[in-house]
Amino acid sequence: MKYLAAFFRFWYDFLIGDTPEVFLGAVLVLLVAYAMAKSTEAPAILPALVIVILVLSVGFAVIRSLTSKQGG
Amino acid sequence: MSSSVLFIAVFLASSVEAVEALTIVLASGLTRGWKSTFQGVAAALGTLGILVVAFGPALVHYVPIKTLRIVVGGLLLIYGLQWLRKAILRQAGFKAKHDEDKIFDEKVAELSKAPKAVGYDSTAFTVSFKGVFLEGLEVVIIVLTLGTSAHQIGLAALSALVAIAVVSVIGAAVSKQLSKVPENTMKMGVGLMLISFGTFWAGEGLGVNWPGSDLSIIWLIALYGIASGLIIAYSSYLRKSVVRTKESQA
Repeated sequence: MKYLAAFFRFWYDFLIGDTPEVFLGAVLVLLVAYAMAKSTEAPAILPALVIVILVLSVGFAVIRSLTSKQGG
Repeated sequence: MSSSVLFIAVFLASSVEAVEALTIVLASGLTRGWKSTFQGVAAALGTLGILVVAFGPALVHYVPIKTLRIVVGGLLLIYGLQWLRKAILRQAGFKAKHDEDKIFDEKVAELSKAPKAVGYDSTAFTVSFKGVFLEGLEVVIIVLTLGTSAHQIGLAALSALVAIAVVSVIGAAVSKQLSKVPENTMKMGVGLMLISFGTFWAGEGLGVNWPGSDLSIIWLIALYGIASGLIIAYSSYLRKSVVRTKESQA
């Protein structure tokens, strides 16, 4: 039981950890890739979506850092 | 072409993890003695080897390549985005850079407190086993995911072994000056490659037709590199603006 819990803890930390937006973003990329697989625009949309996720994730961290510094 | 990109991606990722593991091994060996430290390293490497042998061929032979590429693509996207995000935040000054010398000194101080053992030293064994196993597990995941999706698990494993050997030789030579390794730049490079492979394989597994096929990985790396550069520049600008505003208010 202890090892099972440690196994799930490892995968939770590995996949989600402190960036759940990255996990949800990757799931969204897979869903969009599935929905648009046959579209000729998919090779442009998918990287754009990945960049949006990266901007959002970095943006959240930057806002958190700046607001906590301003508050303190 | 994609073989060389695969080799570089696995090499860089494995080097970063090897540097982190080596910091712990050096701290343990120099503080507690080398015999039990090396036993811990050998036990961890043996366990990791069993994992590769057990899961590598099974993944290649029993899981359809399309399914493998979708799952691996998703995993690489998550892992790559996490690496790249941290590297960007460090580069823009929002996160402290990984200082291997500081980690080394902290580990030495921690290990020096434990009472010394005569003969077999369980502290040295456990610390080096955990350090090598946990960092090595990330290498194994990268080797298995990148290697199986590209159907080049041998090349991926070779690249990881070369990286570990190079880091070990350099690490032994420079002893504790591991802070000289440009870890953040390497992490950024690895993050860029992982999300590029991730985007490509997730798309390919789901039926997306990439123009230029494998060559897409190159323009994906370039595109994500440019985007990361712009994010770093804007984040740094924001941080400096806030600092200036605070200084003028004070």
